[in-house]
Amino acid sequence: MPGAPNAVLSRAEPVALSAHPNQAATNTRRAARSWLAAGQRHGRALFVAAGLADVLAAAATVLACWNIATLIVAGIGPPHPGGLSGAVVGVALGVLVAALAALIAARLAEAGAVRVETAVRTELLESLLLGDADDESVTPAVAATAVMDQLPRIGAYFRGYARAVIATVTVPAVILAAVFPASWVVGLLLLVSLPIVPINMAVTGLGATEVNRRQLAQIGELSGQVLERLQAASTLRTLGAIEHQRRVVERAARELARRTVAVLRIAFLASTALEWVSTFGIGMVAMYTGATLLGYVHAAPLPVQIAPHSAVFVLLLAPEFFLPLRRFAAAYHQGQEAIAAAEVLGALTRARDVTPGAKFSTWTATPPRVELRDVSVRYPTRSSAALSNITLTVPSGFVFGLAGASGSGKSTLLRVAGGWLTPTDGIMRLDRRPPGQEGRALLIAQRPYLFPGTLADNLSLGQPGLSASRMWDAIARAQLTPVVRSLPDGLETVLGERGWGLSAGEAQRISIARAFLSDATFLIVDEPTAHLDRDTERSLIEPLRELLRGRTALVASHSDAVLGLADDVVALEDGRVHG
Amino acid sequence: MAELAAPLVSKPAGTRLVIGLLLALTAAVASAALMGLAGWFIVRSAQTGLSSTSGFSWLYPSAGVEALAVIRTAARYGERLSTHRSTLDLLAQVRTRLFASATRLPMAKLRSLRSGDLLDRVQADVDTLDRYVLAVAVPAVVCTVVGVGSLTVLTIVRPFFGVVAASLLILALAINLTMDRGSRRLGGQLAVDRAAARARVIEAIEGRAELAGYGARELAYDELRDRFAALDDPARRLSVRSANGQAVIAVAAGLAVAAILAAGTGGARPLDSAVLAFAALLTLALFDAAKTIGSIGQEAGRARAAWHRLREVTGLARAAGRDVESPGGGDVASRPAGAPVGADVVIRRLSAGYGTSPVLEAAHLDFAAGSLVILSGPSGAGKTTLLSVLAGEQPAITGEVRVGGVDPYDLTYAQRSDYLTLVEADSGILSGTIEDNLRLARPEASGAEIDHALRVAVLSGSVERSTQVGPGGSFLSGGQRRRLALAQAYLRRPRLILLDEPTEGLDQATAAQVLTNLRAALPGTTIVAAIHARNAGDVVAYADRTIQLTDGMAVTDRVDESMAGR
Repeated sequence: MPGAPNAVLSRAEPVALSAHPNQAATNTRRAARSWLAAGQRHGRALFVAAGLADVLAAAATVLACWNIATLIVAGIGPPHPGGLSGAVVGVALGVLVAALAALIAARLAEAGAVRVETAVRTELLESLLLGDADDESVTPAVAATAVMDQLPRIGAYFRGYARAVIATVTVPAVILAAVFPASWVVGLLLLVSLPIVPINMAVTGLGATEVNRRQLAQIGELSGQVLERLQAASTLRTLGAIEHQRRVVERAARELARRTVAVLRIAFLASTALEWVSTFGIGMVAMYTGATLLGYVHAAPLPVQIAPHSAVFVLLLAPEFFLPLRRFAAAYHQGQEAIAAAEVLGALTRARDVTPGAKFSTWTATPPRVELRDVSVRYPTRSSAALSNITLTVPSGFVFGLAGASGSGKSTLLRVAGGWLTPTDGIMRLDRRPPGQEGRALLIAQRPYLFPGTLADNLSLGQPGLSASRMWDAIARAQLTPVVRSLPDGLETVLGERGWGLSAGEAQRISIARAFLSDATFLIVDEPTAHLDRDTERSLIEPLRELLRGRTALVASHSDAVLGLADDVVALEDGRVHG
Repeated sequence: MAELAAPLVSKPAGTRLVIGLLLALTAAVASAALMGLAGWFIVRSAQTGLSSTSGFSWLYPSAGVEALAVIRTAARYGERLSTHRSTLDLLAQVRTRLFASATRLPMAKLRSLRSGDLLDRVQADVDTLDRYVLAVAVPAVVCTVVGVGSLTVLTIVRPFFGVVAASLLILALAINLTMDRGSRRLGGQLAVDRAAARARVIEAIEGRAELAGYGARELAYDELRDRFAALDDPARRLSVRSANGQAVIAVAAGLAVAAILAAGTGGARPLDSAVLAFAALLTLALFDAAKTIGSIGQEAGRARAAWHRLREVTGLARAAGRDVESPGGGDVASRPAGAPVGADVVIRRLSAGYGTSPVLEAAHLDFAAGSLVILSGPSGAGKTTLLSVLAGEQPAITGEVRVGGVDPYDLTYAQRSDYLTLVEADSGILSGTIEDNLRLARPEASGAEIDHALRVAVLSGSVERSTQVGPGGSFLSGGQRRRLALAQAYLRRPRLILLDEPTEGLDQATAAQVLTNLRAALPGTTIVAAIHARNAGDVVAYADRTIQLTDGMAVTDRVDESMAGR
């Protein structure tokens, strides 16, 4: 892995959880801000270049306005000495350069934003897929929402915000430099309106982060609900529960709409407030210049007169002065959205320890020795412990059988041994070391997960380019040859989601064939023949014995034939070793 | 597509949309008038100041400028809030309808579509629809009104002004639209790739134990990173194209103003400066408004692509023709059938399978009402296919099937869920408590009924009503999942229960106990259970009859007359 994305990670400040909730919220927000600031580095050069282009655009706009003013007042004073064609060219040139510079600025900002987004996404995908802890709280919907819905907000923030922040300082400076010589009073008027902007932002932005946070949470909520119900659709249908679930989804969808409106209301209020400032400022400029032109102003030290050209010129420039401020107001809203997203994304990436450049090989060269010492597991939602004080040692290359009724804790024990679940109490050791990246066992699950894709894709998981002959060999050893031969496209047959299209037993046998193809030294085998009939099971015993030979393994099963493969068997009851 | 478009004409959202549109118009007209009036006012002031005549009041025009500014700002706030609110309301309804359509997809389709892809349609594609209202309809109406108004005023000032502004405006918009060609295709491609990426993220997390176990995490990571990088390109192209379009309009605006100013100052009859200022600023305001429709082709293209993807789902659901569950879904089943009566199952010369290739043939079978029938046989013998046909999920290729006297494939979803319950081998579970999941089957069930269901399914010992099942039921063991599904089937109290591997993950004693309990609790219900030969062992003793399936052939009750001739 390149080190760069991880630099973002290392720069982010850890979240200090404080007992005081407000303090905690402030810390979370601060961590999110610094996480965003760290991300900005990836596009900084482009953002600076975009800022320079914006300055050029402002200067060209000044040129155009100057010449428009010249043409407009041409009819009032004495005839122009040099003719007006120069002014017409000036207008055209100014507008052309301004448009081109704005275009360049937009493209540079876009490129910068893409760069930041890519870097942050790399970091996020790393922690989701390569991170150390397989945190059960990161559900598929949470992960998908983070990458698909929250990440683009980071991009939008840099696309709008990074550019707007620079333009808020530079562009008004350029405009003021042009306004002051024409009318220092107007220049001053514009200058004093500037501090209103941050005040306005601070007031309207109050509570915006919380509202944004609530909206983001609802997106995740809706996403999770819909995904779960789509995956269970046929069950819901047969239970006649569709109509009721439609109402559940409708409630969540409406709640999302409501929370989105709350976010937008604040955003619109902020930009409306700034529009008031801008409109009021322009109105003041118009009234002042109008009154001065009419000769109504007789208050020292204000000048009693203003040249018509200057009056029109400053009036044309006034909206340009406020334009970057209004853009900033819009970006400020994106900023609030992005901070809410950064809180989630920052926490997701921080929570996982990704070692840059680590070799993610999943098994040790020799079969590991597995040790569980006083291991207990309690699920937060269950009163009784799933496992209580389990201590056992599986020597290297030893096949350990687990018997026990449904719900006795076999699956939980397997998850702890495989390193997928950190026990509530006690320790798990692989070759006397805590389980790390290398500690992962190869799983033959009770319900194997087959990826949508071809059968060959699933068999060659982790080994792209695996030869067809090796696959056929593994298929034969898993007693699957007749099944695969009967599939319409053989190895290239596309399997539906979760292996749909195959019977449960066939899916299980594919996962066994897949295991034959790997060089794993540590196997976790969870009810390998639960879905198979007696004849198929019998024909699998020898291949399973061959698979287990020379590997450390934990095998849970109801079947005496499968448990017969184990060197030793213990029975579990209510989360304890029985007898 | 009636079921998706219906919310558009619904009252509150529609009214709010019209109000938003009126406010948008008010804001746009006030904005254009503001620019024009301010320009005119300053120049008139200058003229008045220089000529020292006092026929000009400073007060009224400046008050007018301030009033227009107030109107514009207030109207713009109201417009944005009401158009966004109504659009978001509409989207919430479309989302719900789309979800309902997705759940009505034929079983085969449900299985072949990736849930991540469907989710992406419900989320991102529905979100994209807001472009129709916010980026196409509202700006188009506003720009048309502002455009026609401004051009008329300019033409009145001087016909040349109107012609110049109109030509440059049309040219700029035409260039924009030309650049937008293919954006529907691009938008559609973007949506397809995005949905695939979302599905991939979901699958990578669901299968993370497998990815980790097989050392495939880096590969999955690399693949996802490439997928997203590929996704960036069309998105960037669309964004850059928008910026290009804005530049084209800005240049056109500059040229129009330069031409108007040149014409107004030069030539035989120079225009009054105040009127010229008014015309120049009005032109700038006109092109400013045009910037809001610069990307209209792109926005419409992307929205249409999204709409197309939503229609795929609703179209498939409608093709299933069983929409009577949805109120307002309108489509009554195309194959009307009476409700089934009784609990008899009759099979005559049936062949069934995928498409037209049969995997199952059963000549002549009659299951009496209230009997427990076990379908036994090795993997791939056609047990699941037979259950699927009996459940009406797939049609017979030839021959006929009757449940309660009617063909189950002719029943609507509502009729089917009233009459029969199919417990699939991998029955779905929603996160929440055991009780939540049981109430899916019978929302109005009393506490006693829930407890009874747990006892029938021999679950009361290992879980409680309030036990959390975890996401997708992941806290439960395989056997608990099975029994939860059986408890749900019991609560439905259907006339026909179809069970696919009901005893999987259960020990023999528990398996026999659950089946006999179910049988005793629902005496009039026919229960057909597909059980592997291995698991069938002790359970067979409790069945009224056991049908052996081998290689897709069912042993028949008796030789059918027509079969005897073969």
